[in-house]
Amino acid sequence: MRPAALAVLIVAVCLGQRQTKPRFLADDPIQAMPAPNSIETAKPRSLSDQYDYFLNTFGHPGELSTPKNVIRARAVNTLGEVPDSEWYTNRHYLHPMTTAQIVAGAPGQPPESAGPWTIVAAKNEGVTPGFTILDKSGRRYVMKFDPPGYQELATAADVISSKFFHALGYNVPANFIVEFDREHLVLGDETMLTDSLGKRRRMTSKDLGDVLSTVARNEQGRYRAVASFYLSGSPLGPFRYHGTRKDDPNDIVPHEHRRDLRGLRLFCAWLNHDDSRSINTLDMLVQQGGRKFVRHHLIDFGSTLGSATYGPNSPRSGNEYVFSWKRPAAEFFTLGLYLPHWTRAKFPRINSVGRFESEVFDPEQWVPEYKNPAFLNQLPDDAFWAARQIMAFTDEQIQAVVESGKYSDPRATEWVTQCLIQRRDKIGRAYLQKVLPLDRFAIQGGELTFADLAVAHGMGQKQPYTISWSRFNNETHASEPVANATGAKLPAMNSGFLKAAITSGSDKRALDVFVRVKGGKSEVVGVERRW
Amino acid sequence: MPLKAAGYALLCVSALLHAQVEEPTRVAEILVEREAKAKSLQPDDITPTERRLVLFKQKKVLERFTAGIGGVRAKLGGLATNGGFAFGPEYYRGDLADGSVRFRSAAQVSLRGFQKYDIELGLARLAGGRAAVDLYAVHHNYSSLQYYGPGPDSEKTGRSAYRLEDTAFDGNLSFRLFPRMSAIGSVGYVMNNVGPGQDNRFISADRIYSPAQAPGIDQQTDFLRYGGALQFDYRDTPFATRRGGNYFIQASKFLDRKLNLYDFWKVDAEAQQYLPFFNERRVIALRARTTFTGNESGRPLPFYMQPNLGGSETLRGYRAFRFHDNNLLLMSAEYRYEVFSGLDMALFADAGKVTRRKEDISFSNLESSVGFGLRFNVRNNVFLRIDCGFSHEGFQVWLKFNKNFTAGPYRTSSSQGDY
Repeated sequence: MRPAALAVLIVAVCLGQRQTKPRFLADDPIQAMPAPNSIETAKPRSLSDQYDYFLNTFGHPGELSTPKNVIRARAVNTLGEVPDSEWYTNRHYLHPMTTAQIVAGAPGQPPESAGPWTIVAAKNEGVTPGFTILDKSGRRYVMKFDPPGYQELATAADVISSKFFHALGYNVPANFIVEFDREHLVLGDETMLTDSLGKRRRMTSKDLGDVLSTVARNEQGRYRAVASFYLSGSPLGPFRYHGTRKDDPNDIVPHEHRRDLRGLRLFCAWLNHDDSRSINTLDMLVQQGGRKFVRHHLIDFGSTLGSATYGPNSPRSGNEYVFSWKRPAAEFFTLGLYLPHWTRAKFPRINSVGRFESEVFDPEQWVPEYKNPAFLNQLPDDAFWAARQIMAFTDEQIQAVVESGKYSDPRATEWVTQCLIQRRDKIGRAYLQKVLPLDRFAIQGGELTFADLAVAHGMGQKQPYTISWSRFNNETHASEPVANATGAKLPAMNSGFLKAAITSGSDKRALDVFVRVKGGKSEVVGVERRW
Repeated sequence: MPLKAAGYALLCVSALLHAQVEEPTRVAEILVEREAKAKSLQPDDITPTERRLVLFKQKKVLERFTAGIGGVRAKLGGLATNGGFAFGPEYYRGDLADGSVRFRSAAQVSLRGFQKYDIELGLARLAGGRAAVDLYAVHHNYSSLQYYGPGPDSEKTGRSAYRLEDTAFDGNLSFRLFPRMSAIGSVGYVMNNVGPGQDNRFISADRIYSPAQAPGIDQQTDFLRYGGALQFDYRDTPFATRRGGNYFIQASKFLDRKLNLYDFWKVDAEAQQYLPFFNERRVIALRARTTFTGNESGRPLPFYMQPNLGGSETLRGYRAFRFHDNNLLLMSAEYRYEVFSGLDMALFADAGKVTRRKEDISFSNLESSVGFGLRFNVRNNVFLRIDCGFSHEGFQVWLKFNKNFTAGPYRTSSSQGDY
């Protein structure tokens, strides 16, 4: 045997006596991921939306969690929270925001209304036409419009949803509703236009008129648009909902296992963001504090609520994939006599709202346009993580955000607000109780305290919970019950770990709370949910 | 040798134990994972297939193919049924005079030798966008259009073929009276020539039908046409309609400029109504269409100018051009249901008849057909339609790259009708 191989064998034998890895490390639970490693190079690349559609519809990209092989979410700390990172920042739930902060949305300023807006790039192709403008201060914005006949439909949805997604923790552009006259726009000296054939050429005043002729105008003849503040950094292209970026050392958790992407399903369900696919995400290479790293964004919310950007959503939206086998087959062979439940949905006759409702909305059945591996992997604890955040928005906060969409018709504001409130409550009823609805664990006065979110939100009766304490061996992960230690009061211990097993009658749902006792101080360091 | 190995092992174990003296942290664990990945970074490339699809979209291959090069593009289809697959070059410019002038010209030949050459000039933005002028010229040379004899009692076995050559010029002036209502004035001229059918499968019409049965088969004439039309169109979209209606009436006078025998007047009327239910995922589409013709002499129209029934747009269970006569009544009903976002199914029923005298137009003794169809669409635009129609004369399968239930205004050439 060679010396190196023999050495490996000896080390293995020696370490064989060692126990498993400690469950809780010294700095657990971490609140933020370590600062990102700096990236030397990362090249932009585009993804094909058609390829993404076929891959996800007829293939199985990524690693799927199945009932036989349950894969818990990663990119979480030992409490089950998502640490702050280039993907996600804990905002409204863990650090409650004021209504004004929620309405303010992502950092950024609206374009200066004084002075002209200089068009520096334009496209008259794609789902809707758009411009890139510079305001008087040189700030850059992407301008997007409503489709003809549907004033406010896409622009309001874009602004409202971007603010919710920001408060929910994601990186999004700052979006603003702007209204302007034709005279407010001027063409830059070198402005290029990408025409419908993909050709780039210098943009003329006629081109500007052509683009504006295809977008909606209000009764005063003014144009309304979303001004989307340019994201900082240089674009690298969309991220996928499976795997990792091969050129990003900080991207170490397969996306289909990230809790912030699994939980995103529920946020998308709430806001009916059925267009939540790779093409509506964007990685930016940013430089900050002397480091270059990738920041991951959600973009383009024009196809949320009742909007499909180019018009109202299909009533199928959110209820079925664009293509699947079973339901279409049922409709095909029954000659349409089989009626999916959503065909009976009632929508308002308000063009600016489109097709958005809450009566037939079923958060457990909601789906995006096509399969999304991260969404498919959503487990009850991922959903609970998301549901409690949605429940954290009060009626007043929801209304304030909807008002920032600046619907001219008060019925539109009222309808969208009420739908969001009712959809929020449906989500709460469906998902808060998939696991024991307990959260915000803490040690106060020598007792374990927690909040029952179902009771707090009026969605369940107060239940008697049983708490049984054990000593927890952090090295071996073994538990040893503490005699007569039941209830909220912590058993006496100088140092080490305690485990509180919380159950409710014969309920399968249960959770373990781990407490670290050190130097006379007790701290909740871990939560594990079972269902 | 064993001593050397033990030495290595001792070193490793002591290093590991030393490392354990410092408490491991989660942050350190994450950094180790990152470092490990940093050693194997590679470009985040996409697969060759995906790259091709990205390029296909970025280079606008489909759009460029559709738009052509410098306005020249390929045009597929659009000729009379039975001609076979048709194709040819088309020159299209929609950007002339700042987009207010549209020009189009095409030359097409089908696999069975049918030919069509046309040229069109449109002025779209007159009177502040309320008026439009359309000038159109076309030449058809259809070597074997089918003819089954006159009237509703013509026999399926009476199938024959004839050549139709015509050259027509049309001018339309349309004016938008109200947002959804337009008035159209039109004038046209057509020069007709009919000859023996050139299809070996069918006997030539002139060999089995006399001039009394097929008026005009022995000598053809030219017509000057003038008339007007009204259209009230409130469909949600003309491309894959789910709600609204389209009502159209056109009255025309045809003056025989060569033989002075066949002057006649003609009224075309069509009503379409779309009744959606279950959130427009189910639609009942109804259409009624009639054509009345007449003249003072009581002479029948030349057979090549007569309205006809049968084909992908009318009685779908019958062959194309199955029934010819002076007057026409057609009714269709479709039950359409969405199967998934890109496909609608349809169950349909058609009924209609042709008559020699307009007084004979009634709801009795109608020819009928039923069937089913598939309509493939992208973003509410039907790009492929497959209809299977059944009648007591058998069944027909129609593959069409257009929607059905199209409506006027009709031009002067008899070949401008639906097939």
